[in-house]
Amino acid sequence: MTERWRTITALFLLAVIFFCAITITNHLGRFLRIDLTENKLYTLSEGTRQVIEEIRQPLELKLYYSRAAAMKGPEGIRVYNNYYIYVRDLLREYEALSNGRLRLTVIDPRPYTDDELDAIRYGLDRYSAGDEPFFFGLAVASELGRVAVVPFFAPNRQPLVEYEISKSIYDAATAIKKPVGIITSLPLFGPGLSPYMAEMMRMQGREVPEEWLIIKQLKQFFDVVRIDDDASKIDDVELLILIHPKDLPEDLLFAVDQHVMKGGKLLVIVDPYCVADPVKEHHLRSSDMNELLEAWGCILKPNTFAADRSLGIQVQMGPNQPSRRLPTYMDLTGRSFNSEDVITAQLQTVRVLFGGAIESTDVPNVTFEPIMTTSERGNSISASPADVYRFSNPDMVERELRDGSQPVVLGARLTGRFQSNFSEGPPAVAEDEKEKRVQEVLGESLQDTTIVVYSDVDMINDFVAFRETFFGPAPRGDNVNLFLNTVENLGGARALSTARAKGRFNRPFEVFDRIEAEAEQATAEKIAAVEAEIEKYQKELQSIVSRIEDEGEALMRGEVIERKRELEESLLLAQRELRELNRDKRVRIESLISKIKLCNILAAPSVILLIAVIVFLAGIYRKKKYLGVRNDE
Amino acid sequence: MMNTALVVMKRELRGYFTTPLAYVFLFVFLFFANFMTFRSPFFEARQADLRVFFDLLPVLFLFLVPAIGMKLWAEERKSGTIEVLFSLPVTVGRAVMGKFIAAWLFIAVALLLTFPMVITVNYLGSPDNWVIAAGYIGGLLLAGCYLAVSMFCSSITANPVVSFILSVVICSLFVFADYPSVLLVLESFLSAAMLEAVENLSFVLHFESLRRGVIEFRDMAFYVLFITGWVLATAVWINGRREAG
Amino acid sequence: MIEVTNLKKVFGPIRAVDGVSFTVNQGDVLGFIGPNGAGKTTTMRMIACLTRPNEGTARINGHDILKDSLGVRKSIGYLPENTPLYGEMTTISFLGFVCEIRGLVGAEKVREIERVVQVCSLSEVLYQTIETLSKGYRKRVGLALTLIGDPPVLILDDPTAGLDPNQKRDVRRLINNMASYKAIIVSTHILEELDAICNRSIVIHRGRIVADGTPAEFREQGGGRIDDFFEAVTRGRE
Repeated sequence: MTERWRTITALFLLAVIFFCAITITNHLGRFLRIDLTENKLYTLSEGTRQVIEEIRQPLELKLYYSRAAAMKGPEGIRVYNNYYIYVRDLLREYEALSNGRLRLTVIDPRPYTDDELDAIRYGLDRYSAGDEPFFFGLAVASELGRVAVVPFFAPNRQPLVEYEISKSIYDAATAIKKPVGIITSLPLFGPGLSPYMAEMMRMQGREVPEEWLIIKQLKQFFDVVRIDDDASKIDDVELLILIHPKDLPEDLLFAVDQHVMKGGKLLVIVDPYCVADPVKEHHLRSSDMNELLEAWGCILKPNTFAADRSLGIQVQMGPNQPSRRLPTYMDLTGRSFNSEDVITAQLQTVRVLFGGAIESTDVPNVTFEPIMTTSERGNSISASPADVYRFSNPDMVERELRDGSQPVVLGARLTGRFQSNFSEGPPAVAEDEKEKRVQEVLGESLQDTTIVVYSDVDMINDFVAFRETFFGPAPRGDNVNLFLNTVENLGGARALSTARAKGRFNRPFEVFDRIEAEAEQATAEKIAAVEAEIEKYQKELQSIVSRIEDEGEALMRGEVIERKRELEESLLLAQRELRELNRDKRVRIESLISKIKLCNILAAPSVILLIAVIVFLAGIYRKKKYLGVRNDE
Repeated sequence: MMNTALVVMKRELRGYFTTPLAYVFLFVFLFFANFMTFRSPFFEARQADLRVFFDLLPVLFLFLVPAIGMKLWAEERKSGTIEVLFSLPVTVGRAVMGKFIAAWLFIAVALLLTFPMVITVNYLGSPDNWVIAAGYIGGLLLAGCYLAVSMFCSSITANPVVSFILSVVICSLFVFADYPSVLLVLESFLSAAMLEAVENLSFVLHFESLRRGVIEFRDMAFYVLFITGWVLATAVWINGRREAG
Repeated sequence: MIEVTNLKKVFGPIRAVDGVSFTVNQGDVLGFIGPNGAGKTTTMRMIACLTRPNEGTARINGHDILKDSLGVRKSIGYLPENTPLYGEMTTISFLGFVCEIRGLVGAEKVREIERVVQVCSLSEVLYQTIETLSKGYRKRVGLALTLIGDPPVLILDDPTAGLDPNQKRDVRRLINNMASYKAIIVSTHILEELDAICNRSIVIHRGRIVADGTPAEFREQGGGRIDDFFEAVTRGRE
């Protein structure tokens, strides 16, 4: 008894040890593998390695797989389960290669959860499996909200899967920086002090102005080109950004105009009152680009501010006072964003301070689309910039604000072909030369282009777009995303991924293809002839039928009816011939298939049978031979 | 001195080819392997690979390998020859190993006898023969797992039929360990980590990479550990029985 | 050669062997005798390392059965009860298998097979599969297996069971021929066999040795008949 228990204990220990060992080795990862496939289908390609190497920012790889749904679903989904494990492991390999820049999370988006919502928002394909939705896709998200997806991993596209994944990572990371030009009146780039000067200022206890964080962020993805006020030409820039532009010289305006005429994209961020403007005089803190924009489809209404009671943020006017909503300081949420526009589709909240009101000027051939608005309760209130401070007092706003019935537009997208503001010729040119120079001016955009206008500059300023944390400034809400999405959308690099598509994975039965080609060639003439015949019969039949319809069957002579019957019959015969000809093509393949089946299914086992029979006959022979011996005993 | 494990292996192997069981096994295996491979999806898909065959193996082995494994020890115990074997100077470990390797080699022969399939796909198109080779390696390892389980079952009973049924049941646990419906049941009382560990015990899961043409350390480690574990368990059990009498 | 000290074996509540000790020297043929279930087979199996004693030990040719099972088995030729054999093997391949296990290969193996085949007169059935052999031949094959490698100790569990008188005589003659240079333990429940082959016998009853002496002594004690002596020691204590 004790021995038995000892054995059972030993077996139990053995089971535990090996179970643990197997589990541990499984978690050791995929560090040793040999890819035997001819085209190295399952080894991450050089292109992918490059893509991973070039990632400069952390990316989150979110693998959505409805595991629970797959478990409940029919057994057919098992294919997906195995494929899911493959994809997951492949992604783990990406993760392992990335030195921590890629982080993989596996998510099972159960119905009615945020995960499911995310999956939908990322644009993953949604299928139904039983009574639950089924997702199997990847979202690659950068910290700045740039997202690229593989909507669905279809097992039959397995050899392409690496390309798809790499491409989405590449897209999310956007490795190549494209140039964007910026014209601004604000010290976005800092004062351009030398380090010595900055140190001096710090020592004197003065605050050292620094480059805006948003510009720092932008520089991670784009080559930011600062365009000075004295520039008269803008070249090599796909996207031009105007931030709080004030009193631009005519030449520069002309350059901006011509940039748009060349098909360049434009982002205009203006403000009826920019809190961040270092100018002391309040009335100088406003900007608009109406001199150009009016002709292009919209204006910023002067001295007008958007306000919305339902969106206003809570502010406390002084110590021991209850906090109140301030409708001119808004946190835009939810329906404020155009869910159909790629820029705003994924945004949650954007904070706006003293935003302006944008209005369409109804220019033909240009579509004006609001992408960011107040709610329907929002309305605009007027004040001159000089005494706008009134609107930082809830009581004052409350007194003047009436609930509106139409959302106030805070951001708009204009698309189409725009007309030049300088069709009479470039500015500041002597009258006699104007005639000549007018030829060089482009009067209309060469192609459809896009202008996006926002009516608040403060929303991209550090103190609104970021908040201080223990670890340094962190983005607040989606202000940064809004800006970067816009820039990305207008000037983004969509270069092709260098990750190559996997090579040959289709290995057809060449013999079958050859047979089919040969058969086709052999019967092509016949088939053509029969098809021509069929067409002829059909035409004649058609004419007879239409005659019958016109004149009525009763009036037709017997021979026509007879002819019709004849035609129908020969048509039928010809069609049958065609079918048979087509079948001939298959016959040769079918016979080959049966030959192969016969050889394989019967030949190999028969050989075994034969050997067995021989062995046993030999055995019986031996037995007989020795039977005598046995009987002799 | 010749390794006694090898001697035992040689004797076993010779035993296979002098009994009808071996030929019945080969016949049945080859017939079903060919019959089911050259069926519906093969000619319609027109892909020059042996995926259909390798997909088939887990189920085919489920019934055929226990048939080979069931007699390994059960018969020895039934006929009493185990007394003869262990009165000879051979350790339990070596005897177990010898028997296991013999049966494994026999299954390897059966697998190799499917070579006409390889010729067929090479005639029909240009398959990636390295992938096919990896598939065969995987098939062999897969068979090793079934065999190790079957051998253990064979050692705990003197009745080959009981041994066969027991092996089929235990093996199917490992075959279906990653079936969604099985996981769903397990999910109700296992943590996620345990669930993954259980799923990881699936034979089929570890066969997946191999039949695609990728040899992974992880899968190899699984097969080696799994087979070693069950073979060791067999040795422990037989030794235990020997001591108990 | 064989020193058995206080062997005990328990199967559940049954004390199969309960403190058996004896010694067998070279040249001895020890007859093990006793009613069915007395513990003869269990004692022999313990000596042949087929099962482990709960208590006590035995030394065979200097090897302890608990510590050096492999060494013990190298020096023992064991014939199990009922002579189980691999039926599908031919005689010669079976003999060859045992030779190889005992480390005899090549020419040595051939020589050894020739020797045991001659000793056991198996030349006529060498290429026959064992399942086709008659009982007498099977027994002889079994005996031949124990002789391979010429182990100094033979343990034969009922070697004459189920044989006809002629075959029995053959087996006894075989044992007698080897007696002088080996230590042999033979179990039997045929009393006359003791006279024929043993120079010493032990009566086992209920796991204990109840008599130890030569067959002649037994006869003397039984009043001229071994049967009476046997009955006296095995029944008298009930």
